[in-house]
Amino acid sequence: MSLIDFQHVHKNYPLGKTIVHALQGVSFQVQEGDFVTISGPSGSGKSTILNMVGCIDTPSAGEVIIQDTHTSTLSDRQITELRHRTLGFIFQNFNLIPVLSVYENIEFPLLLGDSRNDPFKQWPEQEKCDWINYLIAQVGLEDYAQRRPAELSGGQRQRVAIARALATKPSIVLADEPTANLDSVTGDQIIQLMREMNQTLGTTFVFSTHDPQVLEVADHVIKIRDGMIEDNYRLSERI
Amino acid sequence: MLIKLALRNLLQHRSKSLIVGVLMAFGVMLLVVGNSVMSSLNKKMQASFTEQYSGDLFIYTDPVAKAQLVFEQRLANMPEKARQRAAQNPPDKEDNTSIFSGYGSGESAALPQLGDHWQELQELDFIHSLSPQTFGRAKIENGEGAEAGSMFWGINPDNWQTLGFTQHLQWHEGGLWQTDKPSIALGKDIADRYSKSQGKQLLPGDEILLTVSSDVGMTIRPVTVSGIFSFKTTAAPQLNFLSLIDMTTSQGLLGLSVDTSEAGQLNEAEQALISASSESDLFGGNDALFGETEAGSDNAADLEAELMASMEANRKKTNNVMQQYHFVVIKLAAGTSVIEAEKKLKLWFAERELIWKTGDWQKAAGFMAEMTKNISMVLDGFMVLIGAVSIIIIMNTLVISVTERIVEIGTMRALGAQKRLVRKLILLETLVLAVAAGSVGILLAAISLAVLNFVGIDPPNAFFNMIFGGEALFPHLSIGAVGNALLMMVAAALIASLYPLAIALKVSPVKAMQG
Repeated sequence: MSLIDFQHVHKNYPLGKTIVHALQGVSFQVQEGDFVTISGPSGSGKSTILNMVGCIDTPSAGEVIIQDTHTSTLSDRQITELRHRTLGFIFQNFNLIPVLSVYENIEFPLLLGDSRNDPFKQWPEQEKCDWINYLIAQVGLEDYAQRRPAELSGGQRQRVAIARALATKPSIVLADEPTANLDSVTGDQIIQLMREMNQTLGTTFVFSTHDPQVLEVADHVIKIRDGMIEDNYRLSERI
Repeated sequence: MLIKLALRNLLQHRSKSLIVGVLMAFGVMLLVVGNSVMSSLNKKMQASFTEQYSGDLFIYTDPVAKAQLVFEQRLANMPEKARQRAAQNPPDKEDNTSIFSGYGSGESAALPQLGDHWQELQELDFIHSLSPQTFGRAKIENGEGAEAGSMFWGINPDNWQTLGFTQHLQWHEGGLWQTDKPSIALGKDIADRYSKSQGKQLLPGDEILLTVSSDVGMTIRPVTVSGIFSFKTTAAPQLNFLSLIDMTTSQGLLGLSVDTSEAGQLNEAEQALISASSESDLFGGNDALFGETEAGSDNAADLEAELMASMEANRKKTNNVMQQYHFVVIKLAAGTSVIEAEKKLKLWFAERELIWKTGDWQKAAGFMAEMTKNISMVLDGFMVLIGAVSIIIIMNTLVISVTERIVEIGTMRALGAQKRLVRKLILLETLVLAVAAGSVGILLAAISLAVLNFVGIDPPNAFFNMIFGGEALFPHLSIGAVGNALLMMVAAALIASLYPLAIALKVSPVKAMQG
C-alpha cells in the first residue's frame, strides 16, 4: 500500500482570461520511508505537486490519496487535522515564527491541536521536552535553543525548520526547495541532515529541487516538465 | 503559548501597537474623564435639587389618567352621535408636570383624596418626612401702581423644616413667617423688581396685594412680607421667579379650600378692586408675568381693611379642615432607594385606586434635568464619534499588521492550526492591547481627575454657572465611568478587529509556500 497516491491529477489556474494547466494528469506513488525528490525547471509544477501532497491545495481533477485517505472528501477542519498529524513542512524561506525562540518554534506544532483527542496534548510534559531537546541535538543547535530566528544564520534556521517539521512525528515531511536560499555547502549539509533523519526516524521525505546534485542522494526521483511526469524511477531500479 | 505569542507580537510590532495603544488610551481617558465629570455634575445637581427643594420624590395627580377620567365622564353625558365624534379626539397623553408647573389652577388641579390617605401616607416606613405644597402664579401690587409677578409655592414652614429645605435659603431681609397671619417671603429678584416699580425698597412688615386668576375666578389677598430671600443654588433659573406663601393664603388664592365656592367668590370690595384694572393691565404686554404696568387703583388702600376682614373670616372657616394641595414633596428614609420607593408607592396608589403619580428630582427639575440629559447625550454623541474614528484607525492598523503577517498565519495554518486558533490569536492580541491601553487611559484619567478635583472647575460662563449650581465643580473618578469606558474600549477593539480577523481567516496555507 502506498503512502502517497497521485491518480491522474490535474490542476488548472485561471490567469486573466486564460487557463494555466499547471498539472496535466500526474500519477505516481510514494512508499513509506522513501526519500523522494521532485525535480524540474522553474514553473514545471513541482511546488503544485507539493501543495497537493501537503493538502494545502486541491486538484482540479484526479485524486490525491494520503495514507489511504481521499483528501478531496475532507472538510477544511479534517484537512487541517490531517496536516497536523501526518505532515511536516520545510519551507524555502524557513518561515519560522520570529517572536519565538528555537525551542518554542520546534514546540509550536505540538500546541496547535484543539480537539480533545489531540495526541500531542496527552503527551507528558517531560517526554515532550525530551523529544524537543532530542530534535535540537539532532540538528546540532543545542547552544542556540533560546535564540530567536533573527539571531541565526540561514543554515541554522533551516535546521530549526527541519526539527519543527519532525516535532509531531509525521509520516511525511514535505520540503519546498529547502536549499534554494542556502550556499552549496550549507545546502549539502541540510540535505544530509534530512537524509539522516529519514534513515533514523523512518520518516518519508518529499522535496522539490532543481539541483541535479541532490538527485544523487534520493532513492526515488520524479522529474516534472510542463506539468507532466517526464521520468519517475527508484534509484535501486536504475542500479 | 497563545498569550505569550500575542504579547511578543505586540512588542515585535512596537510602532503599530503604540499607535493603536495611544489611541485607545486617549479614548478611554476622554471617556472616563467626560463621564466622571458628568456623573459628578449629575450628583451635584441631584443634591442641589433634592436637598434644597425637590426632595427625593414628589407625588402629583397623574394628568393623563385624570384627563382620561374627565374625558370618559364627559362622554358618558353625551348623546350617542356626539359621543362617537368626541371619542375620536382622546385627551393628550403627555405629562409635562414638574414642581414648577403643570397643575393648572383651582380645585380640579389638586391632588385628589389626599386628606383620606394623608395619615396612612405619613406612616409608610420608607418615608422620612412629607411636605404638601401648592403652586401658582400671582400678581403682586400695592394698589398704587407698583406691580411685579411671581410664581409661588404654598408651604408650611414646619414641614419645610423637617425636609431640611429652609437651611438652604439665603435671607437678605427678614425670614420665614412665624405667625398665622397671611404672609409671603419674596424671592430677591421679584422684590427688587417690585421695589423698583414702587420707587422704594420693599421691607419685611410691608403689606402687598396678591392677585391670582384661577379656574374659580380671580382672587385677591393682602399679605405681609416676612422676608426677602434667594435660593443658594443656581441650578434652576425658575427659582429666581419664586416666592413662598403661607399655605392657607395660597390655598385661598388658588381656590383649593374645601369650601371652594367661598374662596372663588369675590365680595364687593374685591370686585371693586378688580374693576379698577382690566385683565390686560394685569397680565397683558410682552412680559405678562413679570412686567410692570402703569394702571393702578385709587381706592385700593381704602379696601385693604375690608379685604383683611374677609380673609380672616375664610381662614377661621377652613383652618381645621384637610385642605387641598397640588403636590407632596417626600424625603425618603435613610438607605431607601428612589427606584424602590417609587415601585412601592406605585403599588400603594394602585391598591387604593388613586390617580397619583410619583416623580423624582429630574421630573421635578423639568427642563433643567432635560438639559443635563441633553448635555450627556451630546457628550455621548461626541464619544461615539471619537469611538467611530478610533475604530477606523485601529482597524486600519490591524489590517496592516495582519497583512504583514500573512506568511506567518499561512505557516501556522500549514502546520495544523485550525481557523479557530488564528481567530483566538488575533482577538487575544487586540484584547491584550485594549486592556493594557485601557489601563493606561484609566490611570491618566484618574490623574487628570485628581488634578481637577484639587483645583476645581470654575463655571466658564453663565450657562455653566447655572449647571454647576453657582459653584466650582470638583469631579471624582466614577467607577461606573471606568467600567463603561473599559467595556466600550473592549467593544470598540472587538469591532475594529472584525475586518482584520476576516482577512486573517481567509489566509490559505499556500501563502506559507509562496513565502
